Amino acid sequence: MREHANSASRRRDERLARVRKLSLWITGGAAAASLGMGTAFAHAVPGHTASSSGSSTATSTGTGASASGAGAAGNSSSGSAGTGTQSGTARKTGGHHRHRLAPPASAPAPAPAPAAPVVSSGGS
Amino acid sequence: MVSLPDGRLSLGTGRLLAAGSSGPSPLWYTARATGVVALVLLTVTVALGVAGTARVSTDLLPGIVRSGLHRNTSLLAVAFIAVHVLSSVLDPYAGIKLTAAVVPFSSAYRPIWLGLGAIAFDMLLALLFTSLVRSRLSYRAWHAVHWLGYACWPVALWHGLGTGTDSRLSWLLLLDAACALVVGAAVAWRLNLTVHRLTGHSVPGRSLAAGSFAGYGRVRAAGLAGVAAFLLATIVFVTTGPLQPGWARRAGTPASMLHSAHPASNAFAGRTGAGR
Repeated sequence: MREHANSASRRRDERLARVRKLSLWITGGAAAASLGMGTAFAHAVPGHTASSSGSSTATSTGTGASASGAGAAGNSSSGSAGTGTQSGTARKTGGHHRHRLAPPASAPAPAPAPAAPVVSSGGS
Repeated sequence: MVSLPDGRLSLGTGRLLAAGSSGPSPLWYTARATGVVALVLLTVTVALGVAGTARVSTDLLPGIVRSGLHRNTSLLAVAFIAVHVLSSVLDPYAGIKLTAAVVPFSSAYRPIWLGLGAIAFDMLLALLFTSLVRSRLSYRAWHAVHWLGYACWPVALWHGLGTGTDSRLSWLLLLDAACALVVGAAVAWRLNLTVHRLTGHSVPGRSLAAGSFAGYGRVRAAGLAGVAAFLLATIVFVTTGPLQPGWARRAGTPASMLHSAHPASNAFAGRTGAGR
């Protein structure tokens, strides 16, 4: 009788140990999957590169910035191609990007002509 | 953790918040990833629970292992959902308040689809707490609340499809389809098993009244029809909703977010096809 009870107890302990082991595997797998998916989202989702271009809008000047902004509103490939990686945000996330800098979609706009100097009479 | 007057939370993680406010937020990606993983864990939980109602016990999966895994995966799903909710609330762009995580349809950002998430979260909390105090409840009360699990899963799936800004990704669609098929197949198998048991195939020597067989037959037919209708409705919803251009606007994203000059708003537009 006692042997039977010991056997049942041992079998129960083995099964509980199996539960713990499987649960640990599931927990580890879920954590790894979460990390992997976060990385995959950061790579695959257009917003990742578009955000970088959006940041470059704030830090860059001229039409190059506006071109990258258009890429953000458009699709991902143009957004990443137009990404200006000069900004801090772009540097932060640009480590994942394989794209090189692309030339701007349009030529830079000519600089506005300087205004004529205002001459004051000096009051004399 | 400090609660701010407007319901938002501050963990003192200024660096994270700063990152979130200046570009692609790690919190945003955390929220998405944990949400997807939580759905997978909920799927496993529901499948194990369905197997538990059928008293499935094999050499590979004895009853005590099955029930232990069911309990642990559900607790793990709750933990991932907690991270999902917290990261969504802490992410500064969408402005989701903590109250919106528990009070359905109270969010300005995609109220219907975020509200479904709040409903699923509330049901899961009810499941969790009634299971924790199960010894103080009658079996009937606990079991009645536990049936919410069947309702929680489809609501969570639709929350992910409607709110999730990554629903267009093919691998994510495949993952959602796999989860739907697993739960649908488990429920269909369970309903079929009930009829087999009632007809005496699995429980020899048990006689069955003709009336109760007819009653269970109707339940089975209604259940199978419900599963098929849900799967069909999900397919129709995905093809006419999240996969179509302009879903972000139709889902209820505030116009200020769609057209904001904030970097993250451009990310939203690109992710959701708002501008297309």
